[in-house]
Amino acid sequence: MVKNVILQKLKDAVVNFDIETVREACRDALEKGIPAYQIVMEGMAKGMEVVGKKYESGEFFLSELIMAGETVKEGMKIIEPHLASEGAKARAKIVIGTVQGDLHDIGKNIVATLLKASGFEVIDLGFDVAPQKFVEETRNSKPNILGMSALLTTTMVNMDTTVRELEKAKVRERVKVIIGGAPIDADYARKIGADASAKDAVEGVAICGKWVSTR
Amino acid sequence: MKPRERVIAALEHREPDRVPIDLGGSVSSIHVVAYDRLTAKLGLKIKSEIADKIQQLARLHDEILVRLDVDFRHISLKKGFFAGREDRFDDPSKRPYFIDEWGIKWAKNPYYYDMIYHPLENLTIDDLDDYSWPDPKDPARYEGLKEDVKNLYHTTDSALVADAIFGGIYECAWWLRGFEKFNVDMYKRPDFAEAFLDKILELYMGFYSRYLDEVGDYVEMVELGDDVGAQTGPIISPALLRRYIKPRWKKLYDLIHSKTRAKIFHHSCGSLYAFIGDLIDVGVDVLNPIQTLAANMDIGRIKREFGDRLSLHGGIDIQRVLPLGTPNDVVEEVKRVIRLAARSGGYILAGAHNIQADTPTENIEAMFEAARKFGVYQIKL
Repeated sequence: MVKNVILQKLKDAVVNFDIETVREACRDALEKGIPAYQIVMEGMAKGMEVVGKKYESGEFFLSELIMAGETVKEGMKIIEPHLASEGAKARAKIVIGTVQGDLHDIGKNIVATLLKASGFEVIDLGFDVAPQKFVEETRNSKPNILGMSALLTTTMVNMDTTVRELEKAKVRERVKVIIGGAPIDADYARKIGADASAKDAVEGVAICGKWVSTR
Repeated sequence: MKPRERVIAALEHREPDRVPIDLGGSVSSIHVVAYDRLTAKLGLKIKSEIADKIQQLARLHDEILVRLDVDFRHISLKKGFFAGREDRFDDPSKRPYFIDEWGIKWAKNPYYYDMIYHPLENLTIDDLDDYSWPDPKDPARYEGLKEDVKNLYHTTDSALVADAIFGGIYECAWWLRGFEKFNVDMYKRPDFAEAFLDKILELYMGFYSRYLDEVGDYVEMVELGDDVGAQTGPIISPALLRRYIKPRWKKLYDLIHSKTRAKIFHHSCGSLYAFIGDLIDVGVDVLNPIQTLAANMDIGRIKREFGDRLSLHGGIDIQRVLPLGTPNDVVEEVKRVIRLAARSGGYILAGAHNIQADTPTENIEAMFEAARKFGVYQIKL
C-alpha cells in the first residue's frame, strides 16, 4: 500500500520535474524494499508516459522533454547501481548513436534518457558514429534494437550505409533498426530497409516499447 | 516605382506596383555552392566569396541582384562576430573550426559550420561580469560604416536593410551555455537565467544603439532573429518564452524603435504560430520567413489573422519545392503564395530561408521570374 503511494509520488514528481522529490522517492522506494526494476517501470516509466502524452497533445514542448530527461536522469543515478546489483534483466537492450559526420545529439540524448527511464539498457555511442562502429557494437553487445539519428540530408546516407554493413556482417536480422531526425521519414526508412522511423523522441520510445512487448 | 518606394509602400500596408523581392542578408540569401552554379549559368565571370561563414552564404554581386530584380541591399557591421577568425585544425574532431568573439567553437561539416563548444557551460552567476564579452563599442565594427551606408542611400534607389548582428537573445544564451543546460537554467536556476539574459540584453542594447546611430537614418528594415520554432511546433513552452524572452525582446525592440523609423524584421524558423501575437506585442513589424512546411504556418491564415498589423517576408518553400520541384512547381508555388499573402501590400517575397546548396539553378531563375511576373498589382491570381 505504502509502496504504491511512493511510486505514485515518484511518477508525479517526474511529471512536475521535481528533482528533489524524485531523488527522495527513489531512496524511499529502495528503503522500502521495492525492486529497482519496479521503481523504474512503475514510477519513472509511468511518469514519462504522462510526459509523452502531454507532448503529443501540445501541452509540453521540447523544453519540457529536456526537463523530464534531466529529472529522470537524477533518479536513474540513484536506481542504476541497484539495477546492476539486483541482476535485474532490462526490458531490452538498445544501441543508439548519431551517424558519422553528424554532431547533432539533442534528440538522440532525449531518446536515450527516456528509454533508460522505461527500463531499457541503453548503450549510447555518442555522435559521429561510423557504420563499422554500429556493426561492431551490434556484434559485441547483442542489442535487440539499433537506433540511429541524423539531422542533415548529407549525413543521413550513413544510415543506409550502416544497414548495408549490418547485412554484410550478417547481423542485420538480429536487430530491429529504428531511425530518426529532421530529414527522416517513413519513405526513407522503407528505402533503406530500416524497420521504423520516428518523428520525435516520444514516438521512438513508443515504437521501441511496442517491439519489446511483442517479443 | 523605385525599389525603395515599392518597399516602403509594402511595409506601410499599401499596394505598390508589384510585390517587392528580397535576396541577401543572413536569412534570405543563398548558399555559395548554389550561387556559383547560378553565376556560371548567367555567364558572369566572378569569383565567389563567403559573406556568412557559418551558413556559407555567398557575397552577392550587384549584377546578380539587378538581374533578379532584387529591391533590397543588405548592409552589416564592418567587423561582425565571426570576422577575423582563422580556421584551425587542432580540435580532436580534425575538422576545420574557428572560435568566434563570444568564445563559441564552430566546426565545419560539408555545407555549414556546427557549434561544437559552448564556452559558458560552467559559468556561475558570480562570474558573469568577469567573462570577456564582445565589446559593443569596438570601433572596428563601425569604421566607415555610416559613410558607406549614407553613400549607398543617396546613390542608389534600393531599400537598405541593416542585417542582424548575431543570433537572438534566447539563441545567444543557449549558444553560449548549451541548449539543454540553458533549458534547465530556465526551470531550475531562474536567478542565473535572468541575470544571464540581462547581461546579453545589455550587450545587445549597446550594439544596436551604436549600430543604429550609424545606419538608422538610411535603412527601411532592421533585421533581427531569434529561433523559437521547430518543424512541428515551438521549441520552448509559451510560459518560458513569456517569462524570460518576451520582456527582453520588448526592451530591445523599444530601443530600436526609438532610434529609427525603420521597421523591425524578426526572423524565426519553424512553427511559431502560438507566438505571433507576442511578437506583435513587442513591436515586430515584419515576420520572417513563414516556413511553409512547419506546422500551423499557413501563410494565408497568418495573413488573414495578422496581416493588418504584421508584414510578411519570405514564404517561398526552400525545403521541398525549391530544391526538389520542377521549375513549373516553383512557379505555381510563387503564384500560390502571392495569391495568399500579397493583398493590401504587407508582403515581401523571398525564400523561406536561405536558398540551399542543392537547389537547381533553373528553379532559382523560375522563382525570381515568377515573382516579377505574377507580383504585379492588382494581383489577379
